[in-house]
Amino acid sequence: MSARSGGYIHDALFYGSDSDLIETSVKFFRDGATANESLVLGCTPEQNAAIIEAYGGDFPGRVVEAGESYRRAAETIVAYQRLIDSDVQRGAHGVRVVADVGIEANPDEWLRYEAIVNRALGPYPIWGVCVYDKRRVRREMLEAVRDAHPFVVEDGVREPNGGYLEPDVFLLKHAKTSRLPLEDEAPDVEMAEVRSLSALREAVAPITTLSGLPERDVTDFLYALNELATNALIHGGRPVRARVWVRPGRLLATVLDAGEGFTGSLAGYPDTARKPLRPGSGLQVVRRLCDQFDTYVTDEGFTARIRTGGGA
Amino acid sequence: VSVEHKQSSRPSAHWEGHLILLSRTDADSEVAVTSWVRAGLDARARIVYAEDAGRADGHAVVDILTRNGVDALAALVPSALERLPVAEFWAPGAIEAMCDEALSEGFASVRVLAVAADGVSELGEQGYLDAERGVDDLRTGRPLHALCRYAPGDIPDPVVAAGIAIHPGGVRETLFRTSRTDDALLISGEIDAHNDPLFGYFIEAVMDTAGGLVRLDFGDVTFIGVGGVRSIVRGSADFRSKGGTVELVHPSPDIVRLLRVLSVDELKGIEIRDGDS
Repeated sequence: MSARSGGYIHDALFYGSDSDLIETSVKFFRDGATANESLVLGCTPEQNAAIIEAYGGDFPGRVVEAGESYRRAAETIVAYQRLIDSDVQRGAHGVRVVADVGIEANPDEWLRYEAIVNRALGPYPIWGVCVYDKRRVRREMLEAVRDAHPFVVEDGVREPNGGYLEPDVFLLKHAKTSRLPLEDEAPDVEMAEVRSLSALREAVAPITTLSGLPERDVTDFLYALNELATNALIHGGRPVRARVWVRPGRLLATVLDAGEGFTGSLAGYPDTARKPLRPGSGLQVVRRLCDQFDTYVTDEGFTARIRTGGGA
Repeated sequence: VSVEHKQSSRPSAHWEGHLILLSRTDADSEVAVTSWVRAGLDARARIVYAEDAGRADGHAVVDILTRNGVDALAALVPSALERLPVAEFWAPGAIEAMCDEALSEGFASVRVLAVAADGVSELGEQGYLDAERGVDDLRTGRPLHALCRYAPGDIPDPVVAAGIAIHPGGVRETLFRTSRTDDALLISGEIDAHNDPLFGYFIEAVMDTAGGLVRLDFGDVTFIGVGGVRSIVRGSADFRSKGGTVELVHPSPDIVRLLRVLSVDELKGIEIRDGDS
């Protein structure tokens, strides 16, 4: 089987030893190289080094560190779409990836990623193997991610996963969003009714720099907040309220409106094809310019929440 | 590609030329009218405004100037500020006569101020728009500046769009401005959901009259949201489909990032010139 035979192939490798990870990865990559597929290795620096050494030292593909390419799920998906398009255009028959998404760093975001990627990369000639260390990742997390993978590799055996759940079903079961503890603290900016987007930007911009986050993250957060408030003003119910919390290394904002909101946790994730400015582009910008975007409903109304920095 | 900024550094230059004022609120409009009149007085201009007598709603020009302390300034120079009834102001040949008279009396230039809704009531939509185009003709060879106050909501959208098409290099919205330089249209300020429909009219107007290349200088744009980007893409779609190119020059790094997130950099006929390319 190769990465070009019928779109996205999405495996989970549950390994119990380093040698298990290394041997499985090396064989997978050798088969890919033989089939003229491009290769991407995206595990921890130590794992990358061990796999490359076992491969023979001259690894014929891209090597990225897990944390680098797996910060924002929507960004990661688009990066893969672009990479595959580019490699196929240059003659590759497909793309093979072995990667650690680092799920424990931000379980909500990466659980969603593991589900949505089945749809977003569906037509692309890519074979991805997501690696999970059974000694390190919590059991309930392992059980959840298993549901997002159509194939499972364990103890040297690769099998179709009978318990695989389609993205919508998976998210209903596993994507739970609730208030964060910080939301119970007094916000640093509170706008009881957002009437002017420029006034909101003007109120929030000066204090966001106090987070100490890089300028680019701060600017991206403001763009994301603007689009969230725009979405609420256009599609939600008035009044639209905004709250922002600034902590060292962390920015959090909520935009509440009196409307019914939108259902589904997939809003704003990339589609299978990159079409400029398709409907929903505002939420797509939100997903890509902040670290996490969630929605939930409380007595106060529909809440859209964004966070950058500070972990989940 | 290297495109130099060519905007004048004089703040009063923001208030010269044939301008369309698209203020969102009465307060914004008041600030703009006050600044425009003050700039005219500084430039030794005679200012003539179209307004019928007896306006008592607080929006009379004289009330605006009194509230902002500019009436005293105007009183220093006799006949520097004059009111004409709307019908007289828009009568054929009136503006031309105003210019000749003011210049013969020693004024350095003439500034005319009119409310679009009043003009539309007097002349009808088409008649008013024709009169506005006539102002452009009169400006050839004359030191004539004009501020046309449009209040979106008070007049139909097609008239607002046509008005913007008459002044593509002179839009003064609450948050964004446009100016024309030798080789580009310079955009300044912020574009978000509150003003992107007006920005869209501006983009469509520019594309309607463009040759093969339109250069939009984003050097002074401090913010643009997704709606503003959509206005550029949709408003230029026909122009680009016929082989035209839109160059976005001098966008800030955060605007470049937004354009790339939206895959605008992959669209045929749009080129982003951010200094690195």
